[in-house]
Amino acid sequence: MSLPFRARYSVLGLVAMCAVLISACQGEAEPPTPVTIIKEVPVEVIKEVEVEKEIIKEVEVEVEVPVEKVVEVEKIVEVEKIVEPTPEPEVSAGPPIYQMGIFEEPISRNFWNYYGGPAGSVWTQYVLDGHSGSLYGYSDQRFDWIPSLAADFPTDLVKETVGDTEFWTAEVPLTPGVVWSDGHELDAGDFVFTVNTVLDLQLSSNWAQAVDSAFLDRVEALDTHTLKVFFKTTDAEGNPQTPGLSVWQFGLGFMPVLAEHYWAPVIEEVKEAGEIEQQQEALFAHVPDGEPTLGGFVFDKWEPGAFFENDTDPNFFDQGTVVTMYANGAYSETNERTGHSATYFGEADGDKVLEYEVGPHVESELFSIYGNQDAAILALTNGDIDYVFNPLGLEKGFLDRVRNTPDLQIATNSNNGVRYLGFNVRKPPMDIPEFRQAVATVIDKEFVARTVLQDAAIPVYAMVPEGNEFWHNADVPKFGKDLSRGERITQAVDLLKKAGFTFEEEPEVSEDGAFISKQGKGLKMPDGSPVPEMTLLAPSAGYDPMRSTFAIWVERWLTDVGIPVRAQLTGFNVIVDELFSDTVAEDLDMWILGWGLSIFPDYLENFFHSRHSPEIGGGYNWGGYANGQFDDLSLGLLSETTIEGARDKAFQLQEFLAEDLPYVPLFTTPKLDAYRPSRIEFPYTSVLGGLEQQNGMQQEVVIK
Amino acid sequence: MAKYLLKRSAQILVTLFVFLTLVFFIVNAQPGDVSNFYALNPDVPPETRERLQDLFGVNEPLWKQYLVHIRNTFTGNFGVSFSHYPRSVADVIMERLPRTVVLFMTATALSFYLGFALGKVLAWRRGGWFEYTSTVGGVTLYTVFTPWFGLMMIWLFAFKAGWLPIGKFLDPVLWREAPIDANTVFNQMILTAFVVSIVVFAVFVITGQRRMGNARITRIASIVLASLAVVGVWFSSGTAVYAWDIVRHMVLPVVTLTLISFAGTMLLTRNSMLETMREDFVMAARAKGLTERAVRDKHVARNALLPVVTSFIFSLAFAVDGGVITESIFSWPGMGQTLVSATLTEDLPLAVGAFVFVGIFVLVAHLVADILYAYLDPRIRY
Repeated sequence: MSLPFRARYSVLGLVAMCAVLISACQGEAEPPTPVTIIKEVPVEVIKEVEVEKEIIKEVEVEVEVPVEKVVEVEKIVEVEKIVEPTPEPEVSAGPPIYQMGIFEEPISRNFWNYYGGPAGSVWTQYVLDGHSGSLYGYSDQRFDWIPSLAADFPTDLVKETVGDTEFWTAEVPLTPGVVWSDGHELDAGDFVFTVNTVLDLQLSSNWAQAVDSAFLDRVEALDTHTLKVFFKTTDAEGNPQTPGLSVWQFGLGFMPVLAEHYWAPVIEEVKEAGEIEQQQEALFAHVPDGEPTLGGFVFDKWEPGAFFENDTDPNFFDQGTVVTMYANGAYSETNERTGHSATYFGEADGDKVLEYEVGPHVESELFSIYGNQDAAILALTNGDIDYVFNPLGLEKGFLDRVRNTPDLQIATNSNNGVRYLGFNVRKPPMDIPEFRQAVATVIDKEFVARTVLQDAAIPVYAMVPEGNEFWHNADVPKFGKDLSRGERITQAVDLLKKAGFTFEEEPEVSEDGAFISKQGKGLKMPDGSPVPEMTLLAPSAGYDPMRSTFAIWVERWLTDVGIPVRAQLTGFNVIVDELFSDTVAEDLDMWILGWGLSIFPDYLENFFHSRHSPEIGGGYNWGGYANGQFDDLSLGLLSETTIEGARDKAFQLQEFLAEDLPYVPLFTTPKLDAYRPSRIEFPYTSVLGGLEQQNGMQQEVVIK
Repeated sequence: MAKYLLKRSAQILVTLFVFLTLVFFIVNAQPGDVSNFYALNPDVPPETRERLQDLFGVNEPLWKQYLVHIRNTFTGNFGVSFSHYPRSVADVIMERLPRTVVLFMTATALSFYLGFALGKVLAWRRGGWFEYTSTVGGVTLYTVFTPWFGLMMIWLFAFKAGWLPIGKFLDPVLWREAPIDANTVFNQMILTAFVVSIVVFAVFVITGQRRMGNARITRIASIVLASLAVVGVWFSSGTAVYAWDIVRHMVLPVVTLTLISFAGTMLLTRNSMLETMREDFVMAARAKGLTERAVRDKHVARNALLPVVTSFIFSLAFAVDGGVITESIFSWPGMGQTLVSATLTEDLPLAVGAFVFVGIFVLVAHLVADILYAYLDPRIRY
């Protein structure tokens, strides 16, 4: 078969041309398809709703005005704050859809998988945030522990003997009238079912953290709206134990509850899948179509690679609740629709520091998926989305771009995280506290954070960051703080000499004390052997320029003193691999990494208790820190049952760590969130961890 | 020919095996594993890491993992993706492939058409301003830093001018109420292009063989009719608005890709044409009194086509790989972006699966190119 020449190459081109041209031609006429009509309808309705809202708000103002004569002036100011009359026409920039940008795909919409399986990414967390509820939660901004699905605080833990076994028990009343998104009423059986599923299927990760089988024996439903929790009084070895805040209030109390009437048949089927591993796989593989939810939103659509959408749950129990927080520490919530009213932590009077109405105030929430942060920020500046999630922080270039966009605003908050320098305290000389203190002394965090990094970092001295105000101890020892370079060197040399270290040549400081005129040499350990060259592992600039910058400066300052350290800037995975390797005890010297932290500082025990050393328990205490005094104190924190008692212990632990320094806390970063205030409004933007830590305030945001 | 095909198939099998082995060991040479990303949360018990490693089988000895990998590949089972757990790798690839095919096949065909047409003219009009501007412009675009160029295109035409969307492949607000999913539309688009290509090809074959006097008119009429038929079918299906939305989102990446790649074909065609122009048969054609256009298009260009077609076939094959950079910049979630994210998140089954898929495609493309040689150039015999 032979073809004319032109036909052959024309065919090649036409194949592609036709694809483009034909597809392009199809949209030219924009026919009035049913789909187009559907799209237009909500826009019109939305506009009408907006107008109605404004009228209502105006009425509220008018009603409150006469009260001005009777009530204090401050109260009127607060009322005006709530109403916040919005500018007129330009505010309605589209349908009441909360449009957010994410730049990685959620992994699954199966909540079991997200909370306890491989789908546990932050991106999954953002999209599933509005799907669940728990007995207790944190209050806004202050992070007080408050009832959520529970009607009140639990009864005090008491010892109770059932049969021959003694338990710690507590009872929890449930809020009546709470319904799932499908209209089915929530009852105690849902909690019992969730706990039993976690225990039966041996779910790990966050589920294991919430349902700690070392402590929890079982949960029973006393009636449809009363739960009874049974904790074990002894551990596996028979030692007495108490379920502290981290196990009960901030553990089981925060466990998400899933609907028994939906999941029970699924679990029955899953349990027939074989071994536990197969059962877990079957559970995680289940696609939860039509799953009832509790958090204010229900799943609507997921177009992989493009967007994820949740619709508002019309049955959301908390919708319309007015939350008020007072300067005296009191917290109150009132819902006229359900008749629910509660006040905690004092009398609800005096100055209000926050007042808002719980939503959702939107028709739906749309998570647009972008290929990278750059594309997401560009979409934000272009007005395609209202808010963008930035778990890795907003880079300086993006920050400048956002600042130069008049329509956008940046909320700056403290971050609940810390980046640190860790020591392998099993090996000399890092096993000597004075050596670690000397290292901490020569590190000028303020210089790097302010001068080099231009305030992109905030120096820290305690393992609980300053932003976590209630739990942060500001009075910990601060080695080297406010010292000049010369003073730092002198103090570090003194510390080393005090511990028995010797120099062949001591470092010398210039006359003005501003720099080193002669580096230290020949540092020898107390036993006379030379200090070996050590490696400081740190992420490379490509992964985290701040940590790599710190590592370079640390190497320089330690070398000045005469401590032979070489900074090795490498991939994040290389460092993590090293930390989890079987030879960590021998190979590791120092490393720089970071932690994102929880509000309740039980992580202090996770990081530094000797039972979490890799060689013992395979935990996060990679440096092998082992101090009996610290161990006892940290276990005391875990078994503490009162907030005040726990705070006292957390303060002691921070002091201990700042003195003994298994880690040198280096810095934290401010949390920056960019959003569009002309279209969306948050009840508050000042909060630890920023708007991102609040998952973009999906239940509270108001579309203007 | 059959003997040759058998021999080539055997060679391809051996090459595929070597390729599978290399891909597996190179991807596994990365430090760490997928569990790293789940094991650095202090609230998550450390046992979780081990459980994940058990679940994914990454704590097995490497040789065992390798054997599983080879067995799975030859049985068509690439395993389960870690980063899309519990979806299978094949499922993820099948989801991403149509998006890449539509974008990159279109861009590849356009750039080759443009490059070939320009290359032909360049060879014929040497030394003029057209040659200099085309060559300098084409080479500049060919060597431009792709991420920068892509971002500039977005900034200029989407952000500043507002003519086109910023990245992505669809508008979420439009699609949230869509009765169908995007992949259905992508598949329909591919099907449409395929059917139209077949129709057009058939028309060209028929009109060419019968030496019809009005062949040109017949061809144009056929193309118009086919196009109208397709438009009618799309409108009647009610999904035209969604296809149009995808096309709108395609414009910027397609134009970008075409601009940065057409010069390769242009220069290849030009060089190939220049070599052919020295042949005796070209002089003979001229001596016969044929027009310059007839000599260029029917004698020179036809003989210069072979290397261009080879390059085109390979480009089409590599198109399924997607452009890692292009897809990332334009937020086009195809094979390229999948490869990058799979590698970064240490989703080894997905990374290996994607590489292997592309590898198989390219090897098959080699075979197709060999067969095409024989068809395009009757002098070649196997």
